[in-house]
Amino acid sequence: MREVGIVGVGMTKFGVLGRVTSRELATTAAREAMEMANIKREDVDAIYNGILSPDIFEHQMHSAPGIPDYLGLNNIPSTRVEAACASGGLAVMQGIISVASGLYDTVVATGSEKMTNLPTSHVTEALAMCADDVYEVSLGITFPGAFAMVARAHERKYGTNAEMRAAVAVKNHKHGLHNPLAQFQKEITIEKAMNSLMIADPLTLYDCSPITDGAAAVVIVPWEKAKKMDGPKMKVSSFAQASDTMSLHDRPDITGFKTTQVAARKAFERANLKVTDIDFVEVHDCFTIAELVALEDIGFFEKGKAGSATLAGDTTRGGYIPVNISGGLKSKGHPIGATGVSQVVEVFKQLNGMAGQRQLKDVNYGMTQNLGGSGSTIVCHIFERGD
Amino acid sequence: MHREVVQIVKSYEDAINQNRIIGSICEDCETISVPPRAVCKKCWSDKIDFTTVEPQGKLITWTVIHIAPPTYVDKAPYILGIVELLNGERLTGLLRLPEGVEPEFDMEVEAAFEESLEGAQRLRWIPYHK
Ligand SMILES: [Zn+2]
Repeated sequence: MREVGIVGVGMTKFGVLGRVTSRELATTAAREAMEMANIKREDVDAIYNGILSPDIFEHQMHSAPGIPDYLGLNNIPSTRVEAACASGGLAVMQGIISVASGLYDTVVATGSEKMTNLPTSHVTEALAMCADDVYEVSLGITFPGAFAMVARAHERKYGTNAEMRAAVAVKNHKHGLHNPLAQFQKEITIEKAMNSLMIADPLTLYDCSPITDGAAAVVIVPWEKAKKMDGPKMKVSSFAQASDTMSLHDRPDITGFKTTQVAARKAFERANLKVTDIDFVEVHDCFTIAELVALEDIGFFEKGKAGSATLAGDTTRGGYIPVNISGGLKSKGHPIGATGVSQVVEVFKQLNGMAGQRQLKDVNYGMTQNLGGSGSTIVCHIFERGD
Repeated sequence: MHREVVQIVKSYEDAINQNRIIGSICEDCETISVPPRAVCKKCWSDKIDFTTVEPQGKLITWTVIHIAPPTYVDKAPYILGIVELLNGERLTGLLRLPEGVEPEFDMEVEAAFEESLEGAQRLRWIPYHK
């Protein structure tokens, strides 16, 4: 396989964006990424689009050709990638694999979602379809409900309590203050988070990421080519994907996700890196408990220790491992298909000194962890500075 | 020669409709899976039969769902939990608890079935009566 790099990124504002299609959002993000990469349109060999459900949210199937159509790139392959909330990360990974294989020389990976057309209960229903239809959805499971069951099991085994979960929300909202593209630029307090509306006991409103519209995109090229380009760049150190049972109840341990453990271990092995080499990470905090579990499963903290570490400030900028400097899904927003791509966009900006007020100092390696379903799909990437 | 598709989900739903919980049992290694599976999770054999399992277990985790999908809005708030059966296998289900009884870890429960419904969604867990 060839070494691969990323040479341009784009991202729309995340939020409630009104009458606009996911196709327009993806087109905008892709155009921005292509401009940063300074590539000509005839250079683009293929597009991958991570998106959960334009069918349900926008009454549009077969969405992938719509993006090259709007970009004026007719006749190139364009492929929809769906892996629940890991659709975006997987679209980036498919793009990387297709360039690494030698098949393509320039690929645009986008992620997009237009969620706010539907009322909240209908969005909840659509997202729940990422769980097992026969054994979970038929009984009324929701994603907050699934992660609430993980949170309760984690609390029983390790004592990870509501205050520790709230500390994740407070921290990510604080980080999001400095991300102008985030859905929220608003600080919250532990008290406010703990006393907010109960969604799925023990998870409250502030334990949950919001419903969001938005898109993000990256341009992927062989590293040999990237090295000769003048603009910002980062090298793909490694990537890995893992799957697990659809139903939560079919896993022996629900205080963590085996998929994250497996994907992270493979990513470290392939990059010949250790967890201590990573300078910052964007993890999939669809719910506060998901961030804590991810940090333990990747290995930044021992099992059961991420909650107290978060309370102690170890995951803030300037802490032991800065986590979700972008604001995470919690504050940046969670337009499903866009999320995994936006994590990669954040790593790119940090590694190229383009992160403005939230710029971290002296960072060489950044990692992403993107989760689908109740952890049934995980995609991890590690990136390194290109200079 | 092609293999016949074994209708695992239908078999489970039919059993639930008869107020029974079934698992698959592997004819090669006797591993039982609940819900049933077409391929043995231990030895990978696809020689599978069905067996009725004890409809009894303990609650290992739960949630109370307040924000529900449209089809469940009328039932909210409702308690959804994962029950570990006596044989160690696990199932998700709704808890039906008497007034004043709160869910707790390791609570002993047994299966009940919602008569007005069809298939997997009929499963309920109620406190175990000796
Ligand atoms: Zn077997």
